[in-house]
Amino acid sequence: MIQGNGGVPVPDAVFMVSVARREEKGSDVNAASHLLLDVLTNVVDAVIVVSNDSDLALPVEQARLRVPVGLVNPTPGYPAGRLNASPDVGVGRHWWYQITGDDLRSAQLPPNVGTTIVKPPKW
Amino acid sequence: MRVGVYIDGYNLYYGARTMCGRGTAGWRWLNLRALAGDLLEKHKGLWPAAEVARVVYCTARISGAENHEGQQEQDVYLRALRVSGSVDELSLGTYRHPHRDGSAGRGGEAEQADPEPPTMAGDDSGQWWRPRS
Repeated sequence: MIQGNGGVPVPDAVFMVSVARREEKGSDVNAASHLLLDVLTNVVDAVIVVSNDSDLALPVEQARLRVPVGLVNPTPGYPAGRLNASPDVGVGRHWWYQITGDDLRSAQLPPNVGTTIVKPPKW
Repeated sequence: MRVGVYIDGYNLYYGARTMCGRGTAGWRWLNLRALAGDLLEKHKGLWPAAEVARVVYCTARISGAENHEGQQEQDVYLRALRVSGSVDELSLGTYRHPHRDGSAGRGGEAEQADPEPPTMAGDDSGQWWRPRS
């Protein structure tokens, strides 16, 4: 039982809670799994990873031992240090790139896709 | 050279939104296969004869209970990606609270809290205090 000043029990005490929560919902784990599966089953000869999440450090590091890796930072922030490496590590020919607003604006789908799909008005 | 492209949809979305502006149009309807092709074009010196072989998009469904419009728009976008052939593989995780301010929001799940800092206790006198730890 929560007690107030002087040790008085407060049965209807209200709690205020501050929560820090990670925002991703498995999209990083799924990307890492597909990446390693495709590399290890030899269905790709090189990979591009679009993420700046340092949780991908191990799968990306492992991929670099087997295929050339292009790492694309899709955020305006600094590239994650743990995703950095030498371009020559492993099989080599790795590269790093920071995406720009122009890259995104110049690679848009047509406003109508198929017969029923229309780009949302505010997009 | 067959190139596989692996996209963390959440990282990309929030990064793009910060870069381009939340209220700005013209960046959300992204053609992932075209973007991958452009990235290869920029690096053809290092990777000659590279072709996009596989585009894997990993994201999570937005909860309609908390963000109905967002869920509908995401639905349209995922269908557009599939129908246009912009992705080969769509991998969907589970979305939880989208509220960055920490509020549970409409339809949010309640959570039990242990009465220890940073929890504050209060009674109907309007006073708040930290429980003794």
